[in-house]
Amino acid sequence: MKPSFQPPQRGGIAGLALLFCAVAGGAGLAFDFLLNGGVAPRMLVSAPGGRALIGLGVALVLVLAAHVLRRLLGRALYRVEKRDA
Amino acid sequence: MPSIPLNPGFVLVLAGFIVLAAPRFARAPIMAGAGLLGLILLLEHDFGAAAAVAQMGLPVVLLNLDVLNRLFGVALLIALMGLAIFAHARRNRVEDAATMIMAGGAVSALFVGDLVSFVAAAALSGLGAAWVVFCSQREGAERAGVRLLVWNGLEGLLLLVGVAFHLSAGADSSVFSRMDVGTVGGAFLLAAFLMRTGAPLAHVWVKDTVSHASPLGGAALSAFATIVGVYALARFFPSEPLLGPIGAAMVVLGIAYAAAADDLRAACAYGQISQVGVCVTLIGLGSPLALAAAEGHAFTSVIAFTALQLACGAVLERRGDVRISGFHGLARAMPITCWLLFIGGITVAAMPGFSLYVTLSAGLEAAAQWELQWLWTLIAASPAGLFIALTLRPAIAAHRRSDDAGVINEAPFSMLLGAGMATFFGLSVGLAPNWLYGLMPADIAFAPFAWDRLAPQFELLGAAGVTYILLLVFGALPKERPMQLLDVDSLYRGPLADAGRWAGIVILRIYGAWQAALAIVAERTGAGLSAWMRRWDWPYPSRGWSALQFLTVAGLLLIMLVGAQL
Repeated sequence: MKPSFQPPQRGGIAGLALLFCAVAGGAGLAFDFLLNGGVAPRMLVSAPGGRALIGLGVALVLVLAAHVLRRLLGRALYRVEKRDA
Repeated sequence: MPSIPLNPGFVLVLAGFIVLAAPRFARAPIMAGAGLLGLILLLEHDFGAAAAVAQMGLPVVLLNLDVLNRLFGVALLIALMGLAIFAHARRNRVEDAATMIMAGGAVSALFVGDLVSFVAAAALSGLGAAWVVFCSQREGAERAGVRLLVWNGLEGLLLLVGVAFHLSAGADSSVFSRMDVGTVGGAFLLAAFLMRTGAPLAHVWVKDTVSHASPLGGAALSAFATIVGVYALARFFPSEPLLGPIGAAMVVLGIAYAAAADDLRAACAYGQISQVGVCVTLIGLGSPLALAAAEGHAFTSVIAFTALQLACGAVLERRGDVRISGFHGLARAMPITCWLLFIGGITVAAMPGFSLYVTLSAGLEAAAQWELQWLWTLIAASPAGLFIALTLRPAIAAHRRSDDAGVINEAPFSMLLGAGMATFFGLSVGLAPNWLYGLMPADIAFAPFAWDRLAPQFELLGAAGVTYILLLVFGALPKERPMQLLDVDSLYRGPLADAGRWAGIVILRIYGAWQAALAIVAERTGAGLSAWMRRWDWPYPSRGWSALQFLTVAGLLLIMLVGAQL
């Protein structure tokens, strides 16, 4: 008999977290443009929408860094414990 | 109430010894009461030096209260009260005493007024920290404790050498003053303080000890271990340019490792390193607002990370480890603890309304006064990293389904209460920050809840969260699996330790061969000499030898006689 397809288990709060983050980010972005839209920023990165770009960049860089660190420096637990000096 | 000129740290040390002999029901009240008494002593005393004596020509100032150490002291004593309540849930008088000794050493170091006493108090705190790690029942804790002792020994050596050079270079006295990193003594002291704060290359002791300690020990180390270093940098090296890049490196390193580590307690330790890095950077900037923000940020970091580590400790108590890869079903089995973890996570991520936000926004304002865009960007970006690493990652993992997590197995009430109390302090500072601003060294008129500050922070966290969750949905995140990340300590725990073992074996073998060769030579020489001696000692020697001996002796006598006649 062909095994029935099992959908992967999805995170329980991923949707809720996405909603929370989208609302927070959207509201923040809107207020940022509303309050600071016509003001010359002190720095380029503090211009309206700059924090959203920083957040996006941090998430991408961090996920990439996690991949690289785990690939290069991640070790299965039993191997590390044996080397404990 | 009359003020008593007693260093609040001494009360904690004394309480540590009392706790050793106290019954179980009295230990947590004694610990919390000592913290409260320390707080009263601290807040009731006027600023200035007291209880000073001279010893061997050097002033010993056992209590010197000012606005800087008061701020750090209040943070540590509040954290201690949360830890005391948490400690009531389990039975370990030795660990309770060790925690109090560590806390007492750290608080004493804050309030002494001369370098020699500071070194002594810091060393006591370090010994207490090692004792806390030794008290842990976790696998590898003894070795982690030994490694911490080695780090403490190195730090103590640097401190002593620094103080000796400082005094021998013509310093007026050992009373506190700003140090110059250009002098030998100043350089040694800076190195020791950076080691204590967990600067890059010396940062591994923080995560090593926290991840091997017990549920209480991890939180206690998180509260008391690094904060003395931040205080010392603010006291001795304000506006030191070297601190800027060092702090920035701590921020990057801490967040990168926090995002990749599987052990949540180690991830929290890395996260704390990143926020200590923010403090170090701000101390390096050195303006009054930057210094005030650094000290305030140290205050809020202590409370926030203690709360987070206490929640992790509650998970450890019930599950045996705090690995994110093993979090499946945790939200169903430990719902209150999960909420505490989540609130702790958003507190350290500087969510508006929580404690780190009010000091981080002051730090951003201070950094914006300088033409250092990269530094401002780094400080601004750090909450986004912590939001992903310490809030979203564990929360999403804890809410994944698991077949064997249907039964609620919540942590003991005292643990939840202690963690909840620390979380409450974080929330109260975040919602009403003016009392914290009132404690700060500089008078700052700062409005953290202005819309033009709130909106960008929500924007930052929201954008980071949306990106992370979309990456999760598209399957671009690294798979959570039980693993350990190698760090600098892997060098001395792995290849260097192996090299040391091999070097030891080779040296022992060379020594053994040398000893064996010496034994053979000695044996053969001795045998030859004894044989030669025995030949002279025979009562009835063989004919040939006796004739030779007779002729030799006769020849000698003849020569003597001829010589005497001549």
